[in-house]
Amino acid sequence: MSVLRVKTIKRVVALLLLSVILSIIPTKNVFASGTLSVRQENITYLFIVPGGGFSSCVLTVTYREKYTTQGSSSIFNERYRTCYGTRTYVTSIPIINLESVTHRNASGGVLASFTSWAAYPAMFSPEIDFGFCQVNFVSKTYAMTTTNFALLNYSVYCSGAMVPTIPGSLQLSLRTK
Amino acid sequence: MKKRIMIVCAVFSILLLVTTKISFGRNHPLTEYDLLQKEVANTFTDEELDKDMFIGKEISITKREFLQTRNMFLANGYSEEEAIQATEKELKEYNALCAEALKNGYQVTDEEIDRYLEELKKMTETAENAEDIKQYIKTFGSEEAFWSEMKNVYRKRRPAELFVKDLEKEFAQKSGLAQGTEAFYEKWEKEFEIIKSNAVKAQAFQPADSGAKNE
Repeated sequence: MSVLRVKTIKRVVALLLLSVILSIIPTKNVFASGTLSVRQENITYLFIVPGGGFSSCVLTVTYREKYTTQGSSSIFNERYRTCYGTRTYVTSIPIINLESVTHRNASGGVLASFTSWAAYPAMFSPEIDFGFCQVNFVSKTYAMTTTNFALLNYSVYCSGAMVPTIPGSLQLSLRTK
Repeated sequence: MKKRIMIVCAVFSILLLVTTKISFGRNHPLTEYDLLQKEVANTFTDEELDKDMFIGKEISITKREFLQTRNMFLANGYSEEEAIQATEKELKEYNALCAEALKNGYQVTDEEIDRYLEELKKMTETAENAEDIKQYIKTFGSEEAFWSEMKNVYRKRRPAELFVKDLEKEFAQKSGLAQGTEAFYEKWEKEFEIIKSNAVKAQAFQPADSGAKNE
């Protein structure tokens, strides 16, 4: 085997090794993705209504934020709010009002408000009386170690009931590391 | 001059304090409701309260039902006139739907009512507004009295709840909209208003003291 050929083979092997090593070593621009979520299950609301008895609503609310990481930042580009449950009433309907979701800093200051939500297909079991899922695609970037959080405020309202509005909320930390 | 200014300031401060107290001094609706219910109990006998106030073709509204609901609206801050109007509308719709449920074959046995009340009992303990519910139960004098009254209420109410639940599901299937969404509520509320209005028309309620008899 000629010396030249040996040298070429050595160079090729070296290049291959180098590319393997480079693919293993983490770099600053490696992407990863994940989902943060929070869920409140079977929250019961009872409304004292005309005619005696109650209108009722048993609610499960889920909030999710999908993210990708880039360097030391998290990019939140998809968020979903899901709401389903059962309810009973005769004339006074308990209605769920999901208010806009906000991103807030540790002291509660509003950083972003997500007001535009589109319907997202979701399946629910037949025992469920109502259910829906909504999605928002506005992108927001924060440090992976952020103390910011997402806040979903909602209320259950029952027209004609004594004490007709009962508020609720869900909070999700946006820290990914 | 200084004295005058001080007097004016003092009078103004007192006025401010008094108006603030008046505007924020309203009782919680449940406290107000309790007071109003006590007043009813002190004014009328059971016999008087069980008399009909409105008579429909298949169902009637008692004075007890009427005053109880009126008190709920008064406790929520309605004026006497507004409360009476709202009570008449709500109770006619409620009772008309109860009658429609029976006409459509919705019936429940006493055992089913007992099972449902057991569920409801658990719900009153775990509800987000459990404290309000506790206070409401207290207005009946005792827990026993409350659940005994609920048994009577739900004999009439439960078939109507099941009837309305099926009506809503049927409407959702027809409309193709997901129950719970704003779009669904908007359409369902309109449809439900028509259903309630037709049910009330079918009962043709008359005031009991008008001497008119529905047959």
